[in-house]
Amino acid sequence: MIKRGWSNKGLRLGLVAGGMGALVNLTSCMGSVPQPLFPLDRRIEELGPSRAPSLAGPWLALISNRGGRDQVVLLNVEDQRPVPLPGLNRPDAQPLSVGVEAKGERLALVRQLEGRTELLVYRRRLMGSQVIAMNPPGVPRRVVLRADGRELAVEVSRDGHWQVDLIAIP
Amino acid sequence: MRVWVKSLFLLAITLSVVGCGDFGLIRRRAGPAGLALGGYDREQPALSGQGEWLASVVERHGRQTLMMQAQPSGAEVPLPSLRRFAPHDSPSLSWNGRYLALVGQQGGKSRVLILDRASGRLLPLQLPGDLQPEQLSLAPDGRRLALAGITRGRRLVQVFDLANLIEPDLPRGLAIGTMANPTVP
Repeated sequence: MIKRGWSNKGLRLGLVAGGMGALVNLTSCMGSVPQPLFPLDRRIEELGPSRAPSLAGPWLALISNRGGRDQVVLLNVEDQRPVPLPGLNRPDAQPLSVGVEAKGERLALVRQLEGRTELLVYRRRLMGSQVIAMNPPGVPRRVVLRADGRELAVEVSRDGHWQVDLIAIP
Repeated sequence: MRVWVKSLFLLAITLSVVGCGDFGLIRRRAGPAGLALGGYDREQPALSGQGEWLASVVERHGRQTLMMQAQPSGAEVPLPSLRRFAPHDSPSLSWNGRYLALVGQQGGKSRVLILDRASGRLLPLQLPGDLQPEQLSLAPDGRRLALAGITRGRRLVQVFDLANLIEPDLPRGLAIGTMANPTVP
């Protein structure tokens, strides 16, 4: 009787250990689960359908569609508040890609305006943009800004091929 | 008064130069992509925080493959652990290029992966919900990840906290605990 009791206990322990092992294996196969930032995600959802995110420092830049119009939004991740970007979002422009630096002072943007696609760097303090011409000529598509803000990398279509240009920003 | 007018005049000239052209920009084409690529296309660039590393997507053996290069030399670093997750999309790098986040494929499904180049550990992320990831951005310090994708036919961006999964990758000379508003050296 004692022997039988021990064996039941052993069986139970074995089952528990086996189950835990299987769970660990399953979890490692499925991958690690990152924690969603719910207040921020809710704020982003309020902005409308969104795409093209760029994270750096406490900043998140993205393109959101509000009332059928795409616009660049810069959010402070800490307090979920959008920051004004005067002069950047023109009603006649279609933003395609955006990048932000860690200080949140400069943004790089590719947009379509009056039938052409252009690359520009926006400075919040100056509330103004500098258009950067493609040289040799090409059509920019996706842009990323280095976290220290000193260089950007842009995908450019030239002669039927995609290339990457690196442009230092003074 | 004269000094005022002179300053305004100089400011106007400066702004007109800055606003109209790209005076003072230094350009270069990304380091050589190699001759054995079977094509010249290079897409989806990502730069580390201070520009020592460039990740981009090139076509190799008919598949979109991630290429990691030191800058400005263009010397390529092999990434064998990513091969089984090709085709690759949307790379993003941390400050010192320690972490490389990307969208890969496994069993016909898109997977978000983070490669720790310091340890060689590859971390596949299990996303909550049914978000189909298309594009991502890793915060330079590695603390957060933003994903853009489609869920239930709707385009959205979600941000995830990675603090419990990976340790920070800070800019050189910056101590842990000073990252709320990093001052770039």
